[in-house]
Amino acid sequence: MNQQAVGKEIRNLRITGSSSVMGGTYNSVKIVGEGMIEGDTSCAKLSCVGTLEVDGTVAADKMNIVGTCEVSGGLRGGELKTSGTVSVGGTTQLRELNIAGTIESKNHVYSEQIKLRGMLHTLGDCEAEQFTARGIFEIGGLLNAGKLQIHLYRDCKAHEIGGGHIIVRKAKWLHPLSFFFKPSSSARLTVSVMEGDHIYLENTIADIVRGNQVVIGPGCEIGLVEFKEHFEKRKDAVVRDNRKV
Amino acid sequence: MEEELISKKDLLELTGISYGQLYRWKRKNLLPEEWFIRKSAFTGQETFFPKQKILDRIDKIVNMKDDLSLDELADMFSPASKAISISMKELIERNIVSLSASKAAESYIGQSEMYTFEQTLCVYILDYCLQTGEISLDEGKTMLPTFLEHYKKFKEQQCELILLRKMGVSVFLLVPSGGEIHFESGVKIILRVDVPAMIEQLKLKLMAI
Repeated sequence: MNQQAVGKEIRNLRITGSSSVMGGTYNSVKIVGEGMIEGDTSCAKLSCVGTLEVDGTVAADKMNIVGTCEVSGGLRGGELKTSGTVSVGGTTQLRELNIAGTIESKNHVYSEQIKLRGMLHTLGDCEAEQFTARGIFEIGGLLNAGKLQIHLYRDCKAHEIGGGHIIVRKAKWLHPLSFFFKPSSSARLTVSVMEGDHIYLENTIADIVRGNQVVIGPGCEIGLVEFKEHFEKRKDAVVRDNRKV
Repeated sequence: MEEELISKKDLLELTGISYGQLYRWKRKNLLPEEWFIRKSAFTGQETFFPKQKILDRIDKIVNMKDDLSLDELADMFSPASKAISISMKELIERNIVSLSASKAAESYIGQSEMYTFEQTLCVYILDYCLQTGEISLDEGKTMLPTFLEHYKKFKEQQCELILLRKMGVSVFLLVPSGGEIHFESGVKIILRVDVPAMIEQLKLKLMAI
């Protein structure tokens, strides 16, 4: 491990091998191997190849995780890309979240954009202006997004979903990602209540769906649809009850 | 004090906003999480809101969203202190606080050139209390240190300032809002000040140039 002095105050932190350091403010943090940071940490750039454990909160403009990263507190910052596993104890607040691996959160996840190609698991809410999923998610609270695009590869779950545009489709076999990650034909989205302006659903199991314009596509099992302007049920869909409000 | 509730469906119908807008405003923190009250109804789970508060808020958002961005609105509604400093002279000139309130506050806050948001808020609340005519200037002077000392402890939680009087003795309390409190007989609640509402008013006045 060496800490290079850059300028007066802000240093770089680099861990190669195995080491444990105190938190603080750094310019760039790079971990290759195994690192343990004790205390709150803020930095411009964080990259981790290997294992990183932070006892405290992390604030970083740019994060790139290959391997595992465990943060006991909250996570704040700009962009997070992970192809490994990130687990967060506190709330996650980001601008851009790109998940090719796994994110596990015990609390809320907020990000302007969420692109999911791996797995997102949170016990709290999940909020995003744009939420695009080609993976697996399980959300304990509310999934709230302006534009929600879900391609079902495996079973997904959320307690509640709300937003402007909600589109849920079966994953296409022709998508390049399907070459590596085969969509399961029995993949379902399970949700208790869904509310939005424009809703299009496939393979979705829900108790209640409320919206202005609702189209229920094939493979859906919906208890009750409440709509304002338009309701359409495609074949192979089960809708037990619908009413115009 | 039981608040009247309104269901989400009725709210949307009454105000004419859509699900998308409602969820968007929630994402932008224009509607606080505490207002979303989940209850089970015969159609499954339903969300309810405190009627008066949410209608007031939506009215404000709808009226102001043309002039201000959603982020600016969120900033105004949030109980978080704004990072500002302003001179007392400016506050008086812009008619945000009265001269007598600022005079009273001066000895507690100090004659610093610039006031922070929290200090400004304190003077603003004092001014409000004095304007109501319910408290005397002397009582106001006991309120100032109470507020300055304890307000920080609430962090960004919503709180209420209460003035009690019994047999001519006045007591100031700072309590978290939403909770119920009961007093012995003979105690009179003179004044209840909803601090978040005060913050909102103050921010609006500070923003208007």
